[in-house]
Amino acid sequence: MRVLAATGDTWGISGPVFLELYAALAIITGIITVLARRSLARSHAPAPAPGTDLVDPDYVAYLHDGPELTVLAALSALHVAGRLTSAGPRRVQATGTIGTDAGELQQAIHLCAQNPIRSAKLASAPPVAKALGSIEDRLIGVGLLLSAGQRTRIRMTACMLWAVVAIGVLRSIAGYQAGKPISFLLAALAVVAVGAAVFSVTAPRRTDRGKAELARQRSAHASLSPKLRPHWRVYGPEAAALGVAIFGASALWAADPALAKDLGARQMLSAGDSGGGSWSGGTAGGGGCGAGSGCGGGGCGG
Amino acid sequence: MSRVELAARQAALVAALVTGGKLPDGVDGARLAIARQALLRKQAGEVATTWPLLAASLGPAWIPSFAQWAAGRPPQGYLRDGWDLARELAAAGQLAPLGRDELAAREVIWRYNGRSAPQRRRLPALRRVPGGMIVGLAGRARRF
Amino acid sequence: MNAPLPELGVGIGWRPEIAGVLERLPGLRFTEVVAESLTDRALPAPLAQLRERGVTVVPHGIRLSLGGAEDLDQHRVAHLAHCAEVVDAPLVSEHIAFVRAGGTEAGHLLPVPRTRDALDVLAGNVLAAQAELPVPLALEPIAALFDWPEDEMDEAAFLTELLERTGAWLLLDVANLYANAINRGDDLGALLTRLPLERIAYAHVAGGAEHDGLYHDTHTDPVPPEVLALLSELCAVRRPSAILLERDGDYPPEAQLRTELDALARAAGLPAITSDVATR
Repeated sequence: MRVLAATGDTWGISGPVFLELYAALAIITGIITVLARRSLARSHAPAPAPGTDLVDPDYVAYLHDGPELTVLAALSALHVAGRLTSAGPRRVQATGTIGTDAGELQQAIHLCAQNPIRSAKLASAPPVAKALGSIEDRLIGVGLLLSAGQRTRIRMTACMLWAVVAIGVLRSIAGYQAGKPISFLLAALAVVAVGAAVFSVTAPRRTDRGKAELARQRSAHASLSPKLRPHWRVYGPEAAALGVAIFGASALWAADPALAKDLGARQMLSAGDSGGGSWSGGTAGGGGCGAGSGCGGGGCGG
Repeated sequence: MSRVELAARQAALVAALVTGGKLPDGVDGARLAIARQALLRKQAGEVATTWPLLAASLGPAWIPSFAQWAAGRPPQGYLRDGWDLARELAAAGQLAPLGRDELAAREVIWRYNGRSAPQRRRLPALRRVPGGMIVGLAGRARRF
Repeated sequence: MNAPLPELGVGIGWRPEIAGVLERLPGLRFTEVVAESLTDRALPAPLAQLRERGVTVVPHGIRLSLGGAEDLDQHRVAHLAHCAEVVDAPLVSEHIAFVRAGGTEAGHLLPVPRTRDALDVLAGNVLAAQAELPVPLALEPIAALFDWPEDEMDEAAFLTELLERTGAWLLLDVANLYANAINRGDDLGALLTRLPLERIAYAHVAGGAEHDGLYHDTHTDPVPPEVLALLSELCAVRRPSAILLERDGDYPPEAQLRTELDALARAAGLPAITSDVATR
C-alpha cells in the first residue's frame, strides 16, 4: 500500500510541505497587513476647500517631523528676525520684542527664552507645548496627520502576523515533542516574528493626504532646498522657517552653520558632493566654479 | 608676436599673478599687485561656498586668512584649496570645531593625498573629532 | 543678419542662492546661467521651472579661455554646446579673455594683449568654437585692471575687427565699459560711438566698488548710478534686446534686488519686471 503521509507526520503534513505552506501563508498575510495599514492611513476628514493650502511653516514642520523640527524652524525664523540669539552652547535667549503677528509658537518660545534656556528644553516648556499641541490637533483635524487612535489601529494589524507566528510555535512544539527536526521552522518563525514585531511597533505619522501635501511643499518651494544654498538674508525669516520645515535640519546647516551648531541641530554633513555646486575637476588642476558665485564677467578686480 | 611668444607672455602674467613669479616686462607692477589681492579675495569667497563651515569658523577673518595662505599658490579648485588650508590649520591646532567637523566629514568620504584630485572612498571610514566621531559611508557622513 | 535674441527686456542672472527671487518676478522673460555650474544630468528644479514658464535661458561660459594661446579644450566647448541644447537656448556667450596659461589656472578672466597676433589667435579660437556650437556665440569684453605694454589698438578697434572676422555677436557689459574707462582715464562720452553697437546681442550690468584707488567690477555690490547713466546713454542710441543684472554674491534682501531691477528697467526705458504686465 502506497503511503501518502508517512506515519508520525506532525498534524498529518510532512515537514517540507508545511514549510512551503507556512511561507506562503506568511507572505500572503504580510501583503494583507501592508494593504490594511495603507488603507487605515487614508484620511477620512472632509476634503479641504481649494486655496486653503498649508502655508504656515509651523504646520509644515510639524507635519514633516514633529515637535523638535517645529521648534528648530521657529528658532531659525526668530534668529533671522533678530529676536533670538545663541547664549552659549545649545542655549538661546530672546532679544527685543515680538508682536502678535509672529504666531502662537514663536511668541511662546520668545516668552520662555526671556532668560537663557537650553534649546532642547523648549519643546516641553508649557506655553510651547501648548502651542505645539494645538498645531498637532489642527493637523489631525484636517486629515494630514494620523490620530493616536488611528496609529494604534494600524499597529494592531500586526495581529494577523502574530497569529501566523502562533501557528508556527504550535507546530514547533508538536514537532519537537515528536522528535522531528524543527530548525528550518524556527528560522522561518523568527523571520515572521521580526516582521510582526516591526508592524506592532511602527506606524506612520502622516496620512496619504499628509504625504502628498509634504511632496507638494517640496516641489513648490524647491528654491529653498539646501542644495541651492539659499541665503536667508535674501528670503527673510518666514522662508528660513519654511526651509527648515520642508528640508529639515540640513537647511539650517546649509544656511547658518554657526547657528546650527549652537542649537545642537542634528548634523548630517553631506560631504558627498563638493559643496557649493559643481566642481569642474578638469585637467590642469581644476580651478572650477562653484554654482555661479563670483565667476561672471569682470577683469582681475571682479 | 607669434603664438609661442603670446603663450609665454600669458604664462608669465599668470605666474606673476598667482604664484608670485617675476613681473612681466612693461606691466604695471602696482596694478598687478592690486589685481592679485582682488583675485585672492574673490577666491576666498568662492572656496567658502565649498567649505562653508570652515569659513564660518573663521568668521570675518576668513578672507584675510585665506588670502594670506593662498598667496603664491596656484588655485587647484575649490575643494582642494579649502582642504589644504583646513589640513594646515588642523596641523597647527588652529582649526575651530566647526571646521574640524567639516574636514573630518570630507576625509571620510574622499581620499586626498594633497597632490592629485581627491578620490571617493569605496569603503566606510571613521574619524575621531572632539566630542564624538564622524563616520562616512556611501558618500554621506554622519556625526555620532 | 538678424539679432539672435528677440526683445526680452530686463533680466537677472540665475544663481542657486537667489532662485526663489527669480521665481517671483512675473515679468521675467530672460536669464543667464553660468555654463560651468551645470554639471548634473538634470537642471536644478527651479531653473527647469523657469524654462517651463517660457523664460529664455542663455548659457554663459567663463572657463573656455578663448584668448589663450593654448588650443581650445574640446570638452569645454562640447559642454557649452550641451548646455545650449539642454535649455534650448537661442544663444551662448563667453569672454574675450584667457583664464589659464603655462599649465596654471588663473582662476579669473585676464585681458588679452590687443595685438594683431593675439587677435589672430583669438579669432582662430572663436571660429573653432563656433564650429562646434549649435547656436550663435556672443563675446563679452572684460574689465581689466591693467593693460599690456604691447597693445597696438584700443578696445573698440580690437573688438570691431574681432567681430568682423568671426561673425560673433557682442555681449556688452556696461559695467566693464565704465570700469575700464574710469581706470584708464578715458572719456566715457566718446566710448559708445566707437563700439560696434549693431552687433550687440544683449547687455550686462553689474555693481562694483572702489578698492586701492581703482574701480573693481565685483558683481557683489549695488550698481552705481554712473553705470546706470551709461546704460541710459546706450539705450538712447541703440537699446539692446535684453539687459541682464549680474549679481554673484553678498546677496541683499529680496526687496533690495527688486528695487535694483526696477531702477535698471527705468534707466533702460523698459517695463519693470517686478510686477505683472496684466495688472499694470
